[in-house]
Amino acid sequence: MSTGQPYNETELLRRIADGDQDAFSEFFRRYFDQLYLIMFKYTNRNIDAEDIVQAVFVKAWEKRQVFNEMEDPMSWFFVTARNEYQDRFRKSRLSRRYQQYLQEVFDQSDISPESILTNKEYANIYHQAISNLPEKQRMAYKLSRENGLTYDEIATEMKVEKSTVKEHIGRAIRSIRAFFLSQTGQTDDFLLFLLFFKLLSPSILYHSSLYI
Amino acid sequence: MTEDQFIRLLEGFHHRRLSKEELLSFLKAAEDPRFESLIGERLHMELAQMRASSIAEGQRADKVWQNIHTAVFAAPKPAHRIHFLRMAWVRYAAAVIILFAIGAYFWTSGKRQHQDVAVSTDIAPGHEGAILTLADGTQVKLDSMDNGTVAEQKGTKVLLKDGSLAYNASNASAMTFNTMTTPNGRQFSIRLPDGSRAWLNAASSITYPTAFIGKERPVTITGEVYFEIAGDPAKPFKVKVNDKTEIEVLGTSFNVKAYPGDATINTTLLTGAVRLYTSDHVQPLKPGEQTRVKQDGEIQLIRNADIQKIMAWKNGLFNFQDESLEEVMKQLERWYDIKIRYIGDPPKAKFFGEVGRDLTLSQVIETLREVGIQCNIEGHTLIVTH
Repeated sequence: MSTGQPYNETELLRRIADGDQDAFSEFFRRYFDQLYLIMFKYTNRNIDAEDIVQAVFVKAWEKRQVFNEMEDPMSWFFVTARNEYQDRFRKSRLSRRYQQYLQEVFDQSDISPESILTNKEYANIYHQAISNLPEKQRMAYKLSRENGLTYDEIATEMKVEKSTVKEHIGRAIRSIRAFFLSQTGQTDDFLLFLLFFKLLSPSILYHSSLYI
Repeated sequence: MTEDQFIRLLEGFHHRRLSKEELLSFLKAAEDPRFESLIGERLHMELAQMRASSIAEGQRADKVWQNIHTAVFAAPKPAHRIHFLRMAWVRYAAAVIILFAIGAYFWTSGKRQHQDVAVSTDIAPGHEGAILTLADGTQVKLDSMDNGTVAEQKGTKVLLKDGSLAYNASNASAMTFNTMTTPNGRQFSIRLPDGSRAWLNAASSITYPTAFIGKERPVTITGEVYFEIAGDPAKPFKVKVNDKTEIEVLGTSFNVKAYPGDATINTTLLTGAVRLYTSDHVQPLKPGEQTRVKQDGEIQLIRNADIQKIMAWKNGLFNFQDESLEEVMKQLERWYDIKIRYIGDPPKAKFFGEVGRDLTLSQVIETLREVGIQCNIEGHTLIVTH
């Protein structure tokens, strides 16, 4: 897929302006990872980050005609991304679910987002670590980290106590960490504990059919 | 809080290293326009430093791409539906997360013999759409129109843009009134000539001048409308609910619910300040407060209104917290444009939980059955049996 040629975004955007769907798809693939990561860093919840990215690209397609008239269409893209973020964050910030969710995630935090890793190998290990988890732990972990549910909501969904949910997630985090360390041969200090964000991004599994 | 202190909190937020108190004070401080733009600037800087990377091919990228693809290519009228409802869409897709009936009434499993009548014609959820009535009585249906100028009246242009209506009154020569109406099963938003915005829930209306000339900004509403008012101390914004109730606004966001048949007119303030006028009372509201005006004009003040519940409709959700079956059904009536018929007394139950407004009626019914409520669709009537 990758041709190895240097890529000119402005040229790509001009093709999009002409209605080229392949160019649009390519543009999305080139920027998804980074845009998602930044939005994750600024919202700390997967579903917000996904929705923002989605909205930005939808807007880009709707507004594609104006790219032709712009000196620097990428800067339009950045402004739109920022606006979408601010809109979304303004709404989320007021939501009790979001506040609750953040408290829970900060309380059982597995990661330190600054150590952003781009390594696909790590992503695979993470992926594997998740699939190794016992079913209940995996479900609780993913309902929280993937779907953005609060512990109360997960408890309802899984028909267990809230304290059990917390326990499942704590165990999941410890297992993932242990597996990761054993596979990479790293020490705890180094990983402490790597950023899932980056790991999550390129290749985390998303079994929507299982959990929705 | 100083800028440095805020930046420290923001960095702690990125790294998930904030105590509960720090987290809450970060979220609170982020409301401050000064800090909000600070976050925006830092975000912008990071965005501008993005470099095209290798092709993203993970499942997350695939999923998001699928949503985008559906929004822009698949639908004949693109994107704007996703827009209004997207908050709920992704995660509530086809699923009801939590919906319970509890309380005064218990259904035994023996009573749950719902006939599995196959629902042959499902009823789709409501979506964006409205009818615009111009000053001369002409009506324009806004459901299926493309972006562009909808009408031009006395120098004021009416524009449809991304599923929302906007007015450009730069050449306005006179004030005329328009009315936007949402029938059952439709919601819509509008940007008024002064930049204020209004979101209409189903079965609601707003009447407003096409240009705000004069000392006030008067509008009239029915049903349920959420406002974000552009501040202009020299020209108070006035929302007339009926002959007896009026809300005076200085620059703020608030929700008014005043459906015919509702026992009270509920006004809830999210930010800023408003004053509620009845025939013989004035009630100022602070953020987070709600007033309920009864038919006889009595005002009840609720200090800690459940904002999340009140604003759920605008965020693409039904929130059934503490509602009776009949209240739940009233909401379904308006959104799915159906009629409800009870056989026997309506079961006494209290609900809680949220449901996405993007579900089809049969999905909602399935959920109701799961909590033991016997119901069936016949044509456009939902029959609830007790």
